[in-house]
Amino acid sequence: MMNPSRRRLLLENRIYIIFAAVCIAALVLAPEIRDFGVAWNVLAQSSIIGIVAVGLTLVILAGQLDLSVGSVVTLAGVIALGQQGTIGIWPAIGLALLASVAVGCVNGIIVVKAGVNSFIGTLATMIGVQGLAFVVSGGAPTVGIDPAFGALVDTAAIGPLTPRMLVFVAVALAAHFIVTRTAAGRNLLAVGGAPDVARLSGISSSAYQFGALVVCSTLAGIAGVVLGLSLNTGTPLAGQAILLPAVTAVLIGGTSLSGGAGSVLKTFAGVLLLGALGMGMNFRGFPIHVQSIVKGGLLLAVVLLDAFYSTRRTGLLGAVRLNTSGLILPKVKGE
Amino acid sequence: MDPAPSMLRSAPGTAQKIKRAASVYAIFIVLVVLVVAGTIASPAFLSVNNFLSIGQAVAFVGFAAIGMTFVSISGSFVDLSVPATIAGSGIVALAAQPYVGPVGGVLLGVATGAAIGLLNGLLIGYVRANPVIVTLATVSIGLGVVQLFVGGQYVYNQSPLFAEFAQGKAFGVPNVLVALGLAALAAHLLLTQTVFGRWVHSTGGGYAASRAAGVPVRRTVAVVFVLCGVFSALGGVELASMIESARQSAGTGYEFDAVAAVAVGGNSLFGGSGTIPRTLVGVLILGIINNLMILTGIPAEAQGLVKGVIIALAVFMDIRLRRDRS
Repeated sequence: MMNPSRRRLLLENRIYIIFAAVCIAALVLAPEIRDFGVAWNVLAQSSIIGIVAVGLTLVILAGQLDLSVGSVVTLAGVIALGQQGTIGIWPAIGLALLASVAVGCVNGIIVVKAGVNSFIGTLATMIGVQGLAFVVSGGAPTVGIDPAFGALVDTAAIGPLTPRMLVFVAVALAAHFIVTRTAAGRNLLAVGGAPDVARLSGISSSAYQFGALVVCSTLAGIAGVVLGLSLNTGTPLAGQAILLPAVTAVLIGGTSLSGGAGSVLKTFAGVLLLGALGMGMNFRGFPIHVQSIVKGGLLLAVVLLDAFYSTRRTGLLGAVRLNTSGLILPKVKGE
Repeated sequence: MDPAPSMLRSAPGTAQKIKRAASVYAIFIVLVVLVVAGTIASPAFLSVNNFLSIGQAVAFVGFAAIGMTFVSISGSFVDLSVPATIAGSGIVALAAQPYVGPVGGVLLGVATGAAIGLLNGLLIGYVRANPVIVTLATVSIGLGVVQLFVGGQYVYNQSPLFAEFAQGKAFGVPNVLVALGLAALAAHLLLTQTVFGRWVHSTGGGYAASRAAGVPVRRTVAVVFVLCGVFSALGGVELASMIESARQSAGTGYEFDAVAAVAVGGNSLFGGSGTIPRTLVGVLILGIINNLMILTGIPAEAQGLVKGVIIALAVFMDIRLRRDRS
């Protein structure tokens, strides 16, 4: 038997092990990935979902969830591309980001100020914002005025890094730094992990949760703008396939859905894992629906893995439970 | 605005009684107001035919909303797998028709819904996994499997009898509304007249306390998701019967419409309380709003926005009223 502390260490860092396994699987499945340029593409292709997943990690660390991220990606893209013709490229981008911040504030008001459970509250904004994106776009894709500007997003800027990758890496590093190295990050973890203790210590949990929701929405907006620019098109369906992989990336990384435990770096690895998996499947010609089965299955596998470990008893007293993800609701006495 | 402190302590006065009654009957008042507003807004609104067409338009969401009511009352938030259930049941019902006949097809379609519901139920009820995450995963898997079998293609109906299930009429009422009525009645009786119904309420009202009192909470939650799968599948089969075809995207958006109906009806999305009649009123209100938007020429794109705002308001009211009551 493995000793409990080592097993816990292994469980908490399982994402890196799974990541390595998937990378090896991808290399076997798709030998093309050995080409550096192709491997590099994984980063480029995961960037949009990655930026969203970083924001989502912050919200989940604070003990909430934001289901509206996909709709915000859509809205931001539709505004940033659709308004170019009337107000110019940069103002349109600014307007898109402003709208994303506004959605974040609405989420904050509903979830934090009104005390609505975030699963339900952000479900409402998810539907509402998607509707707003349809209104703004008139239900049809809009093309930007300058394809060359959009192409810049995917042109190598610093070394082989394109602005699209740079945004993702910068956002992830900044968030990781804030969570691990600043007082604000520690407070955020406290608010999510032990709300009562945080409150008694004088930390304003509503401020941190509000802030996390706004930052998350803003990042989703940035992702939407980048996505829109790189396609030079804003479509009212752009964000449809964002929520599931973003949530999967965060949870497979091991960030706890019950708040307070997790890390942006693990989410980063989770995002790359999904990207490598998608790339491997693309190379083997897996159709898109098979990929959606695999991704859904992956999320279920994470759920089952946690179920398995959260019911395992470890330690001398047999009472320590390894509930790593919060995916599984706490056991009730007698169960 | 907060009431004066003295108000909080005093015995319920007339004002508070009115307020309490308003909170209980608000949704029915809204319905009446909407009908009056509709009558004023459009001369075409107040007619039997228009109401029958509203009923037919919302009937399919109605089935899913009945299932979603069980999920909400049991405190399990939502079942996001409804689109997969609706698409899957309709496609199975039509695809199995040549082999097992129209009735057998319907049964297999409903069984498909039950199977998806069972998967959700086992994971949420027994493994105690988060409902939103589980159903987010199963909807992706379910739609993927459906796509795997039929691609983006339509599956067409070949049986006149099957078409009758939704399109036929009994005493002038379309069969789809008859079926919805029967399903609603069955669900209502199940919730109000059986031990299981009490278990659902109790589990949603307080999981730990129910467990301590001997309620089989895990089984209750699991069965609730099976029921949601079955009722949604009935909606999927009726939809396939109405449009005589089915395809992968048939159920897109139905999960949100169903949640909206439950919330608008004044059922709590946080568990413990709710009734089928309220859900039906919620479905009807959403149908009337849609109908009015069409009659008055509001663009279709705005409807999602309106829906989101309505859910947010309904949930907000629920929180407010609960706070006042406690």
